[in-house]
Amino acid sequence: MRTRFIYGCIFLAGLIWALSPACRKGDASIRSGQDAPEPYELILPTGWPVPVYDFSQNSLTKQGIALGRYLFYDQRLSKDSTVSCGFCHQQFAAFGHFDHSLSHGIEGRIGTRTVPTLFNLIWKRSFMWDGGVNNLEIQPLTPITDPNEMGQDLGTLVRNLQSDAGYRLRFKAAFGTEEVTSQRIFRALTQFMATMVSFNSKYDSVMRQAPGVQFTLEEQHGYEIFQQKCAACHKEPLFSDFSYRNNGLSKIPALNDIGRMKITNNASDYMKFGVPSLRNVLKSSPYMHDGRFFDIYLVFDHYDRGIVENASQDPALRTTLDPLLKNGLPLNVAEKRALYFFLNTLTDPGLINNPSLSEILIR
Amino acid sequence: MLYRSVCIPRIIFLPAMLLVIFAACSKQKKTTIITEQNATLQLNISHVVGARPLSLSGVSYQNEVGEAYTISAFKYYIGNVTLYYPDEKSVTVADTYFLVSEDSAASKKIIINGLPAGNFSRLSFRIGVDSARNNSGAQSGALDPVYGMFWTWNSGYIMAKVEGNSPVSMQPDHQLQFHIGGYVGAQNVVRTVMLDVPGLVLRSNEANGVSLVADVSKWFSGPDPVSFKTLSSWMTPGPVSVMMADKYKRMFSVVKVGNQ
Repeated sequence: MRTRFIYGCIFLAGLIWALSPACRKGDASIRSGQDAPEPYELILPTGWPVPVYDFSQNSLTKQGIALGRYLFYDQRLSKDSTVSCGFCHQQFAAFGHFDHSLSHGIEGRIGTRTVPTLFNLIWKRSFMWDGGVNNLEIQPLTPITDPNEMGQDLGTLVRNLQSDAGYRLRFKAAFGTEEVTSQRIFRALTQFMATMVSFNSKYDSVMRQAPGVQFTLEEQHGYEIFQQKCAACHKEPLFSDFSYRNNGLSKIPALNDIGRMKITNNASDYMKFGVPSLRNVLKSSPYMHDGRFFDIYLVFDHYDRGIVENASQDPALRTTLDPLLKNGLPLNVAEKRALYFFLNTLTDPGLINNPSLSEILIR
Repeated sequence: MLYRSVCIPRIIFLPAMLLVIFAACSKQKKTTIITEQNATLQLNISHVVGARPLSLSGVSYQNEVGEAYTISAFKYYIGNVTLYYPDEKSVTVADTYFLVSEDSAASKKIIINGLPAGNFSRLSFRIGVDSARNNSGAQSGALDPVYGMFWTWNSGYIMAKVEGNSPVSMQPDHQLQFHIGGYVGAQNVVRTVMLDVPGLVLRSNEANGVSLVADVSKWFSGPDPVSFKTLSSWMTPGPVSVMMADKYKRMFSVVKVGNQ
């Protein structure tokens, strides 16, 4: 009897909340009640590669994406409710962490690598700077459970969300029943992350030959330099070939990061890290896997004359520098300036100003 | 723990209910076409260390090189249970995954419904999780990462896990931690166990059982027995995982065929 009363109250509260226009403005996640989740069509640019992510088990729906967005910005995903995904992945910084070289998490803890940007993830085969995570769906498991990031126990998280009436409604709207499972959490987050797409920069307009849009002379010059010196690894149109390479950074002893070798146990992967996309690069400082460069000109300088070949005393590990960088990438002052103007055309308001990706305030 | 009281029975139940569909879809070469499938096989697994029953509460055992140790956790995945008829045709329960854990009595009774009646001579199963499930994204049921059997930093399942303590271990608090996994190429630690089950008869509408024992001491026994002085912890894919998998694939034996 008592239980029925409580459920009745929860239902009534839910009903009032659902019917209150002020609360549900722009939020499709729980409005639909008994209805099946509504399909969402992700429009992708023509001529791009087929996405790597397999949507067949996780079709996009408005309610699924909305749940993912809610989870992404909910601090309760962390152990002490202080850190959300969006805390480190800031939209205005292309979902990287503005002004922080190393990622940080609960209780002031600091990690060993910089926060990666988040966009065009459905084209990526592997994740993390060392490629240790093999599927977009399972990627959130790492930051959620890492003691230096959100520090939460997965089982505890599932139970917490299951005991929250609001979440039960959101899971029902997205997946048909109120049951919360880790698989549903991951799939909803993946649905939201799948909508973080970036292909509406000035560069894209130029490539599409949109009427009235063209590179300035300096941007055009920068594009030519880019094609000559950068495009082999930062491959168009995604501006990364998603490979792992040693780009000649000196080793920081305090971090002692061996890169992809940690994943493969293979000495040939010593100090190799994922090639990041250059899209939105001017918005996503600092740079490199450890965020050591706060200014894009420092990156230019690194490729121009900062390449370190022998990053290790161990002879077996000395030869992993990418052959393309053996002689550095000489860049004069004018070329750096032109490159800067070209990279500026890769800033995408369709990502960083997209209102459907923006933070929602929870509680 | 929620995991002990609620989830384990469901893990076993769900795949069992889906068995009919999966068995019918299975396209293995030697698989018999199943017409009547209402027999039940129950695998009863018990865990021992050498001649003694496994206890997680501090009982001291000794390895082959004379070092004392205790066990505090013992878990592993099995799946792909296959029954062989005397003529070598077989029936495979495909796409099913069971997480067996010493601390869960329910997990040690694996019930497989919907099997064909018949006489069988051998039984095989896989220890671990097949490569496809290691890289297909978020999984559910027994494969839910909530059970702590999935590596977060280097995606893939911990196929089998032993934790404990040994005074000779150089780890903090003299811990022993063996988390064995790896599914790519030469790092693949998935192993198949083949056991004789002479006289196993399954009849319609009747449960029949096979009692198995898994001996934890086999993880550390010869050839090249493990000394906890030099190897007390391993938690990545690679050669040591492969070596341990080759050892623990010998841990199962059949103690009884037939009804309990």
